Amino acid sequence: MGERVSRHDERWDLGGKDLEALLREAEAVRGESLWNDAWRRLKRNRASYWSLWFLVAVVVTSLAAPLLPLPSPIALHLQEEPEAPVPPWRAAFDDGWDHRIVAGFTLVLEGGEWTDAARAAFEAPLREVVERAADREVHVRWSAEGSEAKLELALPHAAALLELPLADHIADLLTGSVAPDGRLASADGRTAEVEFAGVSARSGYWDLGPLDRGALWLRYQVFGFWQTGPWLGTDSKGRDLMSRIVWGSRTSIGVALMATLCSLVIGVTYGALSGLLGGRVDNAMMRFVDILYSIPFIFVVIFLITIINEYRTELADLGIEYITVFYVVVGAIYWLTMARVVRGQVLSLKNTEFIEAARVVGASTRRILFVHLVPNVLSVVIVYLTLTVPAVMLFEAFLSFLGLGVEPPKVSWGLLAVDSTEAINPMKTYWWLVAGPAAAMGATLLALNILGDGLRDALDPKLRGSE
Amino acid sequence: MIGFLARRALWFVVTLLAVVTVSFFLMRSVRGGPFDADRNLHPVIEKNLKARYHLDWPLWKQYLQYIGPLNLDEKGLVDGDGSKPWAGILTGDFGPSFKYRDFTVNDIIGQSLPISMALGSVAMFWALLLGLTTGVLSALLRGGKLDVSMRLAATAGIALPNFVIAGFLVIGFVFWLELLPVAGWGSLRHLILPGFALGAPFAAYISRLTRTGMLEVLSQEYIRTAHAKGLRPRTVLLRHAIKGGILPVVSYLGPATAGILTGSLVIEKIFAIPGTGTHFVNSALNRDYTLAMGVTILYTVLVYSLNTIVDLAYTFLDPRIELEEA
Amino acid sequence: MSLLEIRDLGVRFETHHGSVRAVTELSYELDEGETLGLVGESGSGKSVSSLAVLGLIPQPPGVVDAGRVRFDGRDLLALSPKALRAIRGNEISMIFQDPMTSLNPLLTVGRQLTEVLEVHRGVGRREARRRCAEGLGDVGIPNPEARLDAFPHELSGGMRQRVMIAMALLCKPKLLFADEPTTALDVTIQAQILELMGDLRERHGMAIVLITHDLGVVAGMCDRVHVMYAGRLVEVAETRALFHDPQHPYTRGLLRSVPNLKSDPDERLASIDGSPPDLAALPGGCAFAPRCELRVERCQDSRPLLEPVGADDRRAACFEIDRGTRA
Repeated sequence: MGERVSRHDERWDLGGKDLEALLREAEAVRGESLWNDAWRRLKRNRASYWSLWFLVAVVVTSLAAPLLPLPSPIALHLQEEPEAPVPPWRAAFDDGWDHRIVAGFTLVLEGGEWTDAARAAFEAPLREVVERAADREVHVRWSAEGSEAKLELALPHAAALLELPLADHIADLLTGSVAPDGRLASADGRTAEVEFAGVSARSGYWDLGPLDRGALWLRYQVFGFWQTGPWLGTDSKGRDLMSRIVWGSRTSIGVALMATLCSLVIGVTYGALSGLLGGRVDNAMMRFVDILYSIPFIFVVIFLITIINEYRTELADLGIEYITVFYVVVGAIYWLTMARVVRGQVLSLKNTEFIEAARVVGASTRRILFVHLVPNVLSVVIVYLTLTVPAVMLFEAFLSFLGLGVEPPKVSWGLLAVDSTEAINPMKTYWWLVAGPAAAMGATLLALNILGDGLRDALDPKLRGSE
Repeated sequence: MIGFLARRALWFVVTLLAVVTVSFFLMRSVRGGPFDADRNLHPVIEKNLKARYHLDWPLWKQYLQYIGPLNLDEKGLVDGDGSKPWAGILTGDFGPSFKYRDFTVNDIIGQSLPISMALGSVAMFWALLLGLTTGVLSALLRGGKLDVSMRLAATAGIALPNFVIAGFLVIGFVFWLELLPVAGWGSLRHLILPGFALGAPFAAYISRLTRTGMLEVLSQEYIRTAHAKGLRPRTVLLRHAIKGGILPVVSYLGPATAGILTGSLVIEKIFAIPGTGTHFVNSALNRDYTLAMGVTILYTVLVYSLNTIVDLAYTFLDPRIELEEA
Repeated sequence: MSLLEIRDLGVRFETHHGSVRAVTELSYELDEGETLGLVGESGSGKSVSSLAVLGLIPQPPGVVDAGRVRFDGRDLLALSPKALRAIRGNEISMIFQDPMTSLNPLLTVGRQLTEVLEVHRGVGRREARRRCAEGLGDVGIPNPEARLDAFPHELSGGMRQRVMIAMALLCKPKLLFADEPTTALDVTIQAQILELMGDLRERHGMAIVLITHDLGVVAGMCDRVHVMYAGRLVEVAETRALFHDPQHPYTRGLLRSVPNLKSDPDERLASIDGSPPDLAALPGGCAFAPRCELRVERCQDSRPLLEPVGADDRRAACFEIDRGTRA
């Protein structure tokens, strides 16, 4: 064989095109990033797409709860039994007494029953006191039975939670000044025992933060004290179900998100570390996870919560609310699967060819980590997140059912579910108590599951580029 | 295989020891003893009770006594009804219940466990029956209306908490149709509804798993080969497809059992079934240490053994898998 | 009369993007004992047409919408499912490309073999096992009785393919479809398997339709060759004649692109310009026109029919060949 002569190889000719033109051609054919591709595929999946928007709507509604003209979710009204739902067009106007500052009195008339004249005689002085203190006219509610009567004087345009100083001021004024010896005499000689029942200003809501108060203020500006009627019915304590569902969603979703976040942080860190470090450390770490896994965690949780209940006052002193601990405990249960999944993903990615290729090209470890590893792990994490949230919600409902979770006066869907079981008795079925919360919870969890499935399909790299 | 089982047993002991130790010290170190709920105990009586249950001993000594098998009480401690000395859990004796003072934990568990087992079995039966059949049907009728509705029902089953499902069931079957008793325990009939409520979410999950598994198997080439050999569709399904299709379900059985145990706590409460679950919740709230620990250990043992059995079964079913290093 | 006679077979698939024609107007005949090579790229329709003969196309989304398939006097497309099942694995068998995925990993080799005999010959388990062991021996598997209890993953690739062949031949079929039987195997194993197939063909006197894209395999095994492109036949000839003097430009391109030990190392590898056609969007006229070096305007407007070339039983579908005259 002779020496091979190197000659001009026409295979490398660009065929007359210049480099610039070729580059432009290449750019025109854009590859698609993982996220664009995934989003497109998700959009294609109608069920998942609608689930996503449904969930957005749920979250928005729950955040906007104080803005909505809903009845108070926790104010108690003693009544015989739960009220059936009344459709919107038939609901009576409700003047939102629960949202106002109300001074209450009980009067017992001596020697006789209450008549209109008697009422007028006693109502006037009390009204005058309150009106002077509040510097405005009051609205009156009067109910009498026999010789006992209840008088409620409400301040107009004074939303309870927003004007606590005024409420306290009135309370101070009235205490001891109305009828120091508990008796009131009318102009026409009758006497009645008067008891000042106090100024209620806090019964409409639990303690709300500044943002929520601001939203409440806005609501009163727009809607006044008008509120929706019992469109979905009430429970046996007179609390409007629709309002409880909306306000309950805040707690449930909040718990779910926070706990999931906890499990995310712990799980991803643990799993990524285990996967990256590999070898014996990885084995040991996973062994630990396995041990924890084999313990039925419900027992651990119940233990922990019972114990934490003991130290509640100490924690409160430290500024830690029970609910915060609750998040952490629940989150601590769910991190196990997350850790496993992340570790698996990291392991399989560590040895892929594209990582090696990046290394060969000289990419730094940090670059490899952020540009290559994280996005791939992220997709798996996202899918598991959307599947963990419903699990956590169910778990919260479960714990609340057992009395270990959220507690009254707060509302959560779990507590609503508890109430719903009381609705089942042989006499009369208060079906709305079951239907409302079940529908809300079921729909949300359903949407989350569907979305999770859709995301899993959309982010599956094996299906990339397919329709 | 022996090696596998031995390793499993070893890890089991380690796990159990960890669980027992941690929960023991947790419960003991939390303030509030088991007798706090009792009103106004005369201090002398309280002291005697404490002595009887060794609550005045140092912690480490209580721990060892609990584990056993040594009986550290020189005076010959009695338990329960006063007949036998308390021997510690290594001999299978969980000690006396702190709350129900005439009973030992073993007594209580012995009474309630069979009931819970029955409930759990019924639940598992429902789960498998519904799950497998709907899953296979769903896969075969893929895309059809039946498939879509079954899948929706399955997702609903997963989405709703089991006590809500229980609520609906009670309304439907007890009040409306008056077919089944509402609560209590006495016969198998009493278990149908609670079993269903308990098993429903698992049925839903099994249905999905089966469907996915079957779809994957049915798209495999060896199914085509089976048809090419002239086998009847039914044979192809039952002999070639099902085995592979239900494999994912087999490995799910482990977590499913744990879940059924968990879910039973709520279902037992709703349907007033005197099972072990109810006792556990009460024991935690009453701070009845021994009972709480007893039930925890019991359930851990159950779940662990079932998981091991499932893993073994899996290797029998799929010849490609070998028993891995534990 | 021929053993197998296919007339104007047509198969289409209904997809989200619309109808896709996988096979159009396919016609050929096969006599007893003949070996036919069906050659083409992926997507040419060679596998689909064979699956259609056996009724193995999943009916949604596939539709066999034209043609007649005559086997031994019977029209296969018109048979009841039960009758068709009696033929599959019995009178007509098929072996597939990848024996790893074509065998059920969860069942023993023996079970997958014996069920064929149980279904078609009504034999009991014991007798079936005996015959299957014999069958395994025939394909050159050592220690066949022991192998019966093995699982597919315990065997090597070559052995698995032998098992598939044994399985296909258990009932001594008259016709065997072999879909890329050697593509998934190592080169040395390939040779062994082909040799085996040749032996068995002699012994059983069966007809074979050998589906492949590998011309070397065709050259060694087949009596006649049918070349398919985009779902249609484009050339039909005896093997020797085809290799010696290919007529259709596609066939020529295929033959040219096979590297030759004797060619100049500095010479560029020949390939056919362009890429395989998108079956969902076929151009009007000749499907090969976009890639054809002999293309003229006529080729884009109308489609050439498969017409005789020269004296022997040769046909090609092209406007630009010289018919009737031989160089």
